[in-house]
Amino acid sequence: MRRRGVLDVAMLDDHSFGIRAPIWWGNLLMIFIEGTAFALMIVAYYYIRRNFNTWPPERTYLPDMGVSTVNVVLQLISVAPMWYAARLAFEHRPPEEVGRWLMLVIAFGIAAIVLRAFEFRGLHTRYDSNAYGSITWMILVTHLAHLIAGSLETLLIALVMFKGPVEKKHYTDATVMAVYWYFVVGSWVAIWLVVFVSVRFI
Amino acid sequence: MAYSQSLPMRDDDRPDPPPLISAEVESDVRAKLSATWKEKSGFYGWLTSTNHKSIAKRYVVTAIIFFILGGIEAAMMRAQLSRPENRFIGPDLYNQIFTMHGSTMMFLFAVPVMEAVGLYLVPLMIGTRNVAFPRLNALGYWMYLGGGLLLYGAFFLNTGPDAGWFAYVPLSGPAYSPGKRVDIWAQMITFTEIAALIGAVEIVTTIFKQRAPGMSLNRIPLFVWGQLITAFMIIFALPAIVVSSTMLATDRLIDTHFFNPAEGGDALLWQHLFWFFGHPEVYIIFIPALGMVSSVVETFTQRRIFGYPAMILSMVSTAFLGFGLWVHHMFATPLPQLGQSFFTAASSAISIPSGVQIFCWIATIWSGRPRFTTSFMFVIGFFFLFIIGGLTGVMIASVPYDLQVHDTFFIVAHFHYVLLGGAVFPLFAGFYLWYPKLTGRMLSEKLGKWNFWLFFIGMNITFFPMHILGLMGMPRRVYTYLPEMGWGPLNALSSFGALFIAASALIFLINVFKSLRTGAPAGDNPWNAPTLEWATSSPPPSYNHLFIPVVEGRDPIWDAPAGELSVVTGLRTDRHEGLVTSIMDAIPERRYEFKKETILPFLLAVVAGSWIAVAIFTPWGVTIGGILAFIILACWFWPTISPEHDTEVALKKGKP
Repeated sequence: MRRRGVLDVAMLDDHSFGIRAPIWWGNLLMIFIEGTAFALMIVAYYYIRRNFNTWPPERTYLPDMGVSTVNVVLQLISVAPMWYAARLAFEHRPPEEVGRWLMLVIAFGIAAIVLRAFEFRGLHTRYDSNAYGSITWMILVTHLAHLIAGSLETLLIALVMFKGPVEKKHYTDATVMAVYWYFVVGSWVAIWLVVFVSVRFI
Repeated sequence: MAYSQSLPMRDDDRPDPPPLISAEVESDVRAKLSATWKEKSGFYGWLTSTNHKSIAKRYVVTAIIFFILGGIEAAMMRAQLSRPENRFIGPDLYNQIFTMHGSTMMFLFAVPVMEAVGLYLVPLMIGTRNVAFPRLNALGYWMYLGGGLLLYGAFFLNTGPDAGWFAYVPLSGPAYSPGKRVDIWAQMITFTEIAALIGAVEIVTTIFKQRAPGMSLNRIPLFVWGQLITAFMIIFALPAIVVSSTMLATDRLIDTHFFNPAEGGDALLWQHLFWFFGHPEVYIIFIPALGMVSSVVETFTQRRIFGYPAMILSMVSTAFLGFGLWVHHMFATPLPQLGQSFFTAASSAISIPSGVQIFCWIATIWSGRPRFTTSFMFVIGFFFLFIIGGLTGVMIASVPYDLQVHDTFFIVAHFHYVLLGGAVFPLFAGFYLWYPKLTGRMLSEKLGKWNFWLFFIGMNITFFPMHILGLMGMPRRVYTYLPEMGWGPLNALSSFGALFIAASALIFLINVFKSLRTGAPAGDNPWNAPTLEWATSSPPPSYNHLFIPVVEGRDPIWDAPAGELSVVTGLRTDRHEGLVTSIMDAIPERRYEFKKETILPFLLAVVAGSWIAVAIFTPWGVTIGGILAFIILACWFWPTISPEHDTEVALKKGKP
């Protein structure tokens, strides 16, 4: 088969952001997968509800609102430095600048992880107490895993920004990391509404 | 072609088409690409490979080995059931064998093999050099292999799972399945779900972002559409089994109560979650097969597929409906009647898109010039068997009928017609179609016909009597039965049919191995097929296409004027570089460097895999495995500066 060169792409950039970057799509699909898992766990939460006369079950205190609400606020605030770090990355600013804002996000991440320990205590149930305890713990532990993974990944990107060698594609990674972080925060808001708020009304 | 005018690069207004690429330039590019994309040799090279074709080939081979193992288990079951009160296999081993058979065929054969064919062909068909994330792809294969080794290792140590492939609680719970058998099953699921999800992410991203310029959505080959739709199904269906198998594992290991009714848990929660995965799973196997059928029909009728948009819409609607059917596996549980009616309606509705596709294929064959090769014969067999399976499917979609035959051999007959007819026959058809592309040699048509007829006849002798056995009341999953039940003769007939299938499988293997050495050389495009995988040599070089093609119609090779291919120039040949294009119209957006080969995916699979196995015994396996996995992932993502990397401007030099 003979070939005719009709399109020369040598002038195209080798770097892109957003929907033009394959990694952005890989990350989005990952979010679909994990979002579906969270959604199914929430469905299971309400499914199990039907097996109890009261919710939470008898002789179980309502989960504490205090710490979990603080955690919602904290995580929502953490969106701001993440957004700003992604903005800086998008504008190809010096890597240290991006890294510094990422470190701030990690600080929020660590705080959220520490608060999670108090949230478990504030649930007033154990994973092996009954099905209510099992599903609430499962949801919180899964989200904890996301917080840890998200913080570690952010740390990794921050370290690359500080230690180098930084390539343009790492800027894309930083913006994609931001999208993942928004997902982690957003899913916590949804979980908080289910596990700490809706429990008072159903 | 009407739609070829939408592309600016071959606009008819253009006075002179650019000149043909000279032979010297071609051989120069070929030499450079071969050097850049050369795979490392030896065992270490094998462990580190990230080329999609190498990985997909071992995926296919591994899946076929599991297919044979699952087939041997099936043969043992047929031997046991061939006469009443047979003493060949005892009840305990029989339980393990039917569980192994189902789990192997679903998790280790059908889903992986369909994805594997996609991972091989999709990049070739859409004209790119590798999948989007080559290292992740390698990890997927190693995880899959780990799951298979775990399951069979345990089975040979008499710890094979024995609660059925859908592991219903309470039977699979801690109270009724002590020991570690069910945990092995649950962790095998963890391995294979990771592998399947990785494959799905690869396929979606690759199809979205790496299609050859000009391959807009309405020019994607139907096979690739099938893979895309399936990958989306995997992404939304598999989380259900992730969640449910985790719940089962924790119920068994750390005393959670998800499925324990005494503490407010619910056995039906398992069924809902499992089938919310399990039913789409059937279509995850079936929709890629539909894509294969379209490729075969188009090739062997030498006619464009009839009703291309209708075919795509049918596949999409099958996928959507596939998520609304799961409760029809649960008609024998106390569910509200309104809900049951809804699921009956949805289950019957799925015959509409299936019917549309079958009529489109018939129209294609009718108006084309069919060549009855082995590949095409398997497609004809698919029509016949799948329609029978579809008809019994409509029957059992009805609640009263389903209550009569629930858990009987009628169901076994139904889903073997659907799965063997609907997935394995198209897979064979595809194998005969693409084997020349994989190996550069043709399969023997003579052995192929034997392969087909023995399989087709054997399949009907084996599974048709099961309909009647089911109506006579024979339940599934019994290791033997009394002579007074009158089930002996039909069971004997069914077991006799299994011999045909075994003979057919043997002939297939002989054909594969013999043709590898002595088959006729295939050439680039032995069937005069229309899609891009046939525009490169057989087997394809490690870089796939010498130049990325520019697509000007739905059937690029047939549309190309007089054996002339329009191509992209200007990609770098000194590194693993490909082209990223836009989602809708495949307009070039940027150049893209693929990650190169590395040992890290293998290491990660070994470390993560062994700690997943440890997690069968202690929850610490998850913690320690997680930490180790993160360390390896950090190495994986840590940037390295190497000579071929140089245009990705290094903004800040680290330590050299």
